[in-house]
Amino acid sequence: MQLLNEKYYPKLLKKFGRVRNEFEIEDTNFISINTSFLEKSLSQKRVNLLLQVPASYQNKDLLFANLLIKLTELQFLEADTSPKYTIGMTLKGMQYNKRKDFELIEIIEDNYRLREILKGKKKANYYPAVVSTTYEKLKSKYVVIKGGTRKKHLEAIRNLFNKLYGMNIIPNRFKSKSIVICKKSIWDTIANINILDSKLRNLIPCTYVTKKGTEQPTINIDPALYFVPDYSTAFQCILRKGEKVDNILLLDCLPNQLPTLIMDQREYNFGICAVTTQNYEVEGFSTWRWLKEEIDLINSL
Amino acid sequence: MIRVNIIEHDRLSELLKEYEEALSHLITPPFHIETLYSYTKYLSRLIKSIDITSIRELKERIDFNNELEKKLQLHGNDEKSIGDHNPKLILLKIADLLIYENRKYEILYQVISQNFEQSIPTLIIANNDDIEFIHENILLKGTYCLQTIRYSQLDKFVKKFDSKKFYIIDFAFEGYNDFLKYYNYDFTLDLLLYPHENEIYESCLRKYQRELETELTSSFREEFTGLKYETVSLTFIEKPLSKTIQDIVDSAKEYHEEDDFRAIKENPELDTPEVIHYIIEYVELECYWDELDSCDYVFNEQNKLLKIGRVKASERIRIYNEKLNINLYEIAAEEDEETFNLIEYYSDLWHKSLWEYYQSNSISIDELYFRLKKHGLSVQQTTLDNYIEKKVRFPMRKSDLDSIIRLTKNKELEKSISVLLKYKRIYNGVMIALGKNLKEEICKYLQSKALGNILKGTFTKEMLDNFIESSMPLRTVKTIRRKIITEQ
Repeated sequence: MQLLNEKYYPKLLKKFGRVRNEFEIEDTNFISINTSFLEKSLSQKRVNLLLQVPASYQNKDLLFANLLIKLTELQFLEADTSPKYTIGMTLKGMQYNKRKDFELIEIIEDNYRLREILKGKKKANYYPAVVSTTYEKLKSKYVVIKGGTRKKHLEAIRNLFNKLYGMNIIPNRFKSKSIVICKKSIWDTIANINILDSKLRNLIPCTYVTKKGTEQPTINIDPALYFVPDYSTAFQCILRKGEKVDNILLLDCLPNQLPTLIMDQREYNFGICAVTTQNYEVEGFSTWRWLKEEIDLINSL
Repeated sequence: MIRVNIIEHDRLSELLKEYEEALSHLITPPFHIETLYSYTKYLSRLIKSIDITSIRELKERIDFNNELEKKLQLHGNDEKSIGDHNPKLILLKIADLLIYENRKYEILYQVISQNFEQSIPTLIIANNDDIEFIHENILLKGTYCLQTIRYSQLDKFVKKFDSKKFYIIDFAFEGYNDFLKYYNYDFTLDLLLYPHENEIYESCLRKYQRELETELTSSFREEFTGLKYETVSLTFIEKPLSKTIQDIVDSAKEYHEEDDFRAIKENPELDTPEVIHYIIEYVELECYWDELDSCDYVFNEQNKLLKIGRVKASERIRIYNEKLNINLYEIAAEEDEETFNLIEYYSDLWHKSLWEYYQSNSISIDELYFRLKKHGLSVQQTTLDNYIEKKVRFPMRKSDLDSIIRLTKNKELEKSISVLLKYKRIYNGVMIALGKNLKEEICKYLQSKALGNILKGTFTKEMLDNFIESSMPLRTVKTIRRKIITEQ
């Protein structure tokens, strides 16, 4: 029995199957339509989209990873490209081969003085180097860090940012953030997917906040995204602390926390998109329920 | 994809027809009985089950259950006044029939044998009882290319293996949840169903087609995409369901949430109004006995896991010691924090209400126990101590929760009781599943001295050996008795 109108899907794909680009992990037609849906709903903020996919859908992890990259892309637009520097900040020098971290010790007009931070044996035997630089050079050659960070990972972020927006900087400060709510096991799986020769976790500046409020950053710079196991953690540890949040993405969530999000949305004004593999509806959300027949048809186009 | 295999069973169909007639008779005056809620559950379980021990246990539950008698009394009737239209007797006949002539098991066995001859591996999805039954009756008696898994393990299996190479069977179709899951798989799943179970399947198919149509033509889809979906005409043949089937379909609706559904699918006991306890006395010990719940497992002399209901006198067994459960809650909570937050919330709710009552009335524990007893508490005072110290997440029985509600008159608790019970069920289901995993690890340890993942974090071999020797000694069963306790 023919269940679907086959003429509809090429039109849908033409309008929402976005152009393939190089940092997509795997781009089946179905995944790209959903990625466009996420972008449309979060940038217009007119509807809270609830995407339902069948529980047995096989490429769930890839779908989540792609949605995550789209969310990161949206969040990178909030990167602070003319950040303010203050005395006492720790910066990593990207032009050196060896690991060199500095402390910002003096600002006189456009002259920024940095003092090298010596560690271990070096501390006793060497004097720290002092470097003078300008604002522009500081922006392009140094990265504000919060702890030990590998240069390789920072370069990967620069690479991604360059590919997305054609700007040769490492976004390391964000005016606002996005939150991803998902189980730890989902985060662990998608964080380890490989893309652009890096693991996803090393490519997106993000911090996992545990239920107890412990922050586990993937890269020790200001995060673009926060990952949390549930909304109450997001509320206690991020929203209540005054952090500006643009969007909340929920991956494979249960219906019970969604009404609270809708209630808080008015106050905090964030966009919401939720993806679930269960079959339910929640007030305040517009549900798009994908049916197996549709997914098969779309991917065969 | 789903393929349905219908199992004809004339005698069963006859009895179901009688049952349907009995229900129709009971709706009419002077009886006015609209539904027999627990009977629907029993019937639904009976026709799914292939395990004779479970069917026998169910038979006892049906015999013990007094929903019919109570409802008859409401309008001044008794069992005699309904004559032959007695659904209880019919259910008992169905149970007897299925003990002596379980066509589903026969067909299942045939399918497994045929597959084996053609070198096709078979995978059976079943609940804990049926899995044991299959192991005892098929796997122990011959070599078959056969694997059994629980419902919650299916997705892991699908990820790990090429499911298309297996002949996958479920013979206990639970309704729409199962339908959606199985329908959406890329491989074919075979359902073995009696004709009236097939009616449930067909009603699911119709429901799905209706939902599909509604979704595709929804106004939101059109607004969001700016594209109009032109419907292709579907022809539904709506078919009214018999009352028996409709009741089964309706009773499955409550388990709409996946966790709740999974818990019941794997442990049907969680959903019956009675609790069966087993009391075991040993040859080696005088004046000592163990009391276990019907969900509990023990180890036999060959270090295999055995559900307590299957143990017979003179067998040598080890009783699993609950002290080994230490880390299970943390493991479960980490896996699904969202659900466990809610479990924690509802677990706090009853405890807080009891604690506040205890504090604000400045009474002794003895007095509190006395007052709760008056309101129907069934447990010993030591258990009440555990309640107060919050050593248990939930009281075991609904009647004990009811006694707390009646005594404390806490409005919030009263209002939330149905949700609380749901989370209690989910909690029990998760703990049984995890407990089963842990027990399987201990079973493996007893057989091969290998530490599994859960054990590894907490025990060394030496610790575990000592523990097993001192706290789980092998003893010979002198007697084993059943005790049924009502929850209604």
